Amino acid sequence: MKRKTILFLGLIMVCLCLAPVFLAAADPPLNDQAGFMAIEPVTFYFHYGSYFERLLLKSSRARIWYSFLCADQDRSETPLFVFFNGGPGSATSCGLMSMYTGRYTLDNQEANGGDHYIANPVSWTRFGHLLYIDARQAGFSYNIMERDEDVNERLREFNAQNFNSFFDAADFIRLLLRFLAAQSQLQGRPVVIVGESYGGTRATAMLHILLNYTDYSNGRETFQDPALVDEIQAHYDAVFPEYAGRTVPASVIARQFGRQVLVQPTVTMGYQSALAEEMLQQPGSILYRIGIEVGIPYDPGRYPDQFEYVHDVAGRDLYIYTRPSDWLSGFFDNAGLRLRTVGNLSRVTGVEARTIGELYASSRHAAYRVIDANSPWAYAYETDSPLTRALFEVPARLESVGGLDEPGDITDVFGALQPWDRFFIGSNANANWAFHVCNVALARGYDIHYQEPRYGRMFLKNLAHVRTFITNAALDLVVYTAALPPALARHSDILASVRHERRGPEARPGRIVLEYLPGAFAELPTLTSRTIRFPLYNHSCHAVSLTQPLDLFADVGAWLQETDGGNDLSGGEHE
Amino acid sequence: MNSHGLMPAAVLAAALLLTVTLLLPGAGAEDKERGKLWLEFSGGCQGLDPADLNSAVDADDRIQYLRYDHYLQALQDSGQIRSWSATAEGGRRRITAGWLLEPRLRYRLGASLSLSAAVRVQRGGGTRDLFFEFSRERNDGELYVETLAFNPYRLSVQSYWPNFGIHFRRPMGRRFCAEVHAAAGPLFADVSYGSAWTYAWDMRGSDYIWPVFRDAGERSEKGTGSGFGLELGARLERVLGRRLAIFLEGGYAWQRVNSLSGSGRETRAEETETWSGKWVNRGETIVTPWETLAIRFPTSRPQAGADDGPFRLDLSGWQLRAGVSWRL
Repeated sequence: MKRKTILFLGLIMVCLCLAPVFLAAADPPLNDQAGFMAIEPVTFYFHYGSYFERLLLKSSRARIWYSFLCADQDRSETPLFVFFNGGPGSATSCGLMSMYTGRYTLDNQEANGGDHYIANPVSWTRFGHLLYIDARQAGFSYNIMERDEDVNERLREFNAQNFNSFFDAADFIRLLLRFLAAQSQLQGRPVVIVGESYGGTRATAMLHILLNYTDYSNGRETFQDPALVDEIQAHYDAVFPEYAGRTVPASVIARQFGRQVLVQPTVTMGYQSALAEEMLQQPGSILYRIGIEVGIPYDPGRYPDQFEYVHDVAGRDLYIYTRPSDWLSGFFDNAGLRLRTVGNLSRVTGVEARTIGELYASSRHAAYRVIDANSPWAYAYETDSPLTRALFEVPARLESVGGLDEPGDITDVFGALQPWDRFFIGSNANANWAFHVCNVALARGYDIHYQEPRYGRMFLKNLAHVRTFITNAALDLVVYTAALPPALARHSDILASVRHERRGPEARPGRIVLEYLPGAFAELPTLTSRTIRFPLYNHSCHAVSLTQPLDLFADVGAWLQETDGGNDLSGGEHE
Repeated sequence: MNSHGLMPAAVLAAALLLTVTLLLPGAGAEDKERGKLWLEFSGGCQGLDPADLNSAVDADDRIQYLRYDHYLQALQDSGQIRSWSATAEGGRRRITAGWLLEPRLRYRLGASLSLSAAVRVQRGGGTRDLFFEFSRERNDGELYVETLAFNPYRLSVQSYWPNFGIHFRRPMGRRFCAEVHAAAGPLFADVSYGSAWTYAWDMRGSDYIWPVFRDAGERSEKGTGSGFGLELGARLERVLGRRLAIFLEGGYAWQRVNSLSGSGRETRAEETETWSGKWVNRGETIVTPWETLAIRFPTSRPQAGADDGPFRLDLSGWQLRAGVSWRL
């Protein structure tokens, strides 16, 4: 008896000693997270085939804001949704994160979204885990530099080394892979990219880099980022150990990065813009109907700039032409105001914001957000289009009201910032200017602007492996998605035909059927056709999740349940 | 050292020297030469065209035209800018001539035959400062001004040619001797190619100048190698006394180095890359939306899968030297 007791007690002691070992080996529980991911200075380059004639650039140190919401239920295959808005230069925090995707949302029944966040009846946490990312210098994200007090040094920060469509995508990939590496139970999970507006270009660039990663260090692609490729390879070594140390085929990579939901996206924006302009000029178009409604007839001869007519003459919102000008901007701006109250920020992110060290003024001595300390307004926008003004001038002016006195209690809690720093910028006009205008890569002739056809080609190649859902919002003129099918058809060196199917069994039917030319992509010899889900949202603005949240939630849910959408996603590639 | 235009000047100098020597009083050439050992020192010039090395200049020029002149013209042709202009100070130059110096020791075997040992030092090319400014006027009136400065741009070659020669000599009257010779020996060569450059881009409007981008870098490649040289030449000598003579010597030298290796270094965006390897003649095709350009240029930077051909340093060419000879 005594011996048995001793044995029993000894067994208990052994168990107690080993328990920490087993507990440590188990995955830590997932919790909501919010904070900053540090991105170190990165050296990358653009080239047209000559190593010594490349444009070599080195980015600045960045702290990229992210917010992670756990899925309502976590299973082994529960996906991770990665959300971002567009601009470029626009924040996700006051966009998708605040508009009927997370657990809390602005209220679409209230003007500008109301005075507080409400519980979201269609939280996408039912689908999976959610990761929201603010792009470099947008939202809460901020950069760090030396000599931040020098206005000319700050001016030079807003250029191609920090702002171009490829490096922007690389930022998001870096953050995503590092986040996945830090959450071991999520590292191999399926990822669904959710991009809105310019986010379509970002999603295209991200997926093209992820699926064809070796081409971004072996000289085949114009953009070369060897350090990123090493990081991607390390991720694939962990997720696809059977390919460790080898190039992973795109069809295998697509097991993880094989789905995208694009909300009013720019995917081949040069052609989209041209086609939209042509279509809207046709007699009987939306613009003529707006003219009848407001009593100022649309005349293409008199109003050559369609956006100027809609926004300035007719007084309608470019993002939802049935509403008055800047209706949607009101929601974005309101979200930006609300999020600068620490209680709101904590509620929306599920994290006590006071615990986020990098928000405190004391930890951001060399941070900067704008060139001109007195205004977030960029230089030299006076001659730009009404669209640009609507995108950036209005929000920037709103945000400049009060100058450094940002709304809410954020300054009281985290401390006063340097004059060129900001806690939050909804749409950073300086960053947008760097993408489009003040960009040495563009000035030196690299065809990397988001309106270049290369992004359309990349998008069409991605489709070989990536199931795709694109919204078709009827009231959006900024990304006029009715022009998307004919815009894709402009890639006649890749596609034999593009068919927009408007009928189907769904509540909101719609598909784009693409027939590829034989050998359109040499490495995808059997790629013949792809189908994109393209539901029509009759009452929706650009931000579909805001104006038709229930419908978008239902459609995405149904689409996620589909196995392959009728596509053979092996891509037909040579392995 | 600027070697451009060296040959005409050297020919003129040689002609002057020849005229002066004809006017000087002298000892007889036939029987007043003394000693079996002669020490000679000569200097002169050489025509050069190291094509593989010079392709660096061609490639740099053509890339710059592609990147700036042709690109800006394409922008103007397509209506994306209103106009453009360019200014330049200095220009890249191929190596077409070189200086040379040679100490030589001769041993007289007989009245008409002697053997020699010498070391010839040759140098061609050099450094230059270059400055380019490109200005484009956008359709909204704003100016983009880009400046590109090379301080300096360097392309040079230096060789050492220890050679052993045989000389056949024939007096021509009291004052002059004529001579033909052949010399051969191993050739050792160094090449250097590179530049330190700065790039600046300003946006200029009616009431502002914004210095929106600055860049700077350095590239340096050095190579060494050995080969073989052979020279056939002739000489006219003016005897000035029992122990002294001056001469004018010319000939054609076949000098080639078939393989160079060395190191390189490039500093850009605050980072430095170094490498070492065999010099190659690399082919690249630069495909831009406005033009496709095929170039070849020399480099020692290894690059997997590159279109590399053999690099040959050919220093052959006509040479002309003037010198003085002491009979020991």
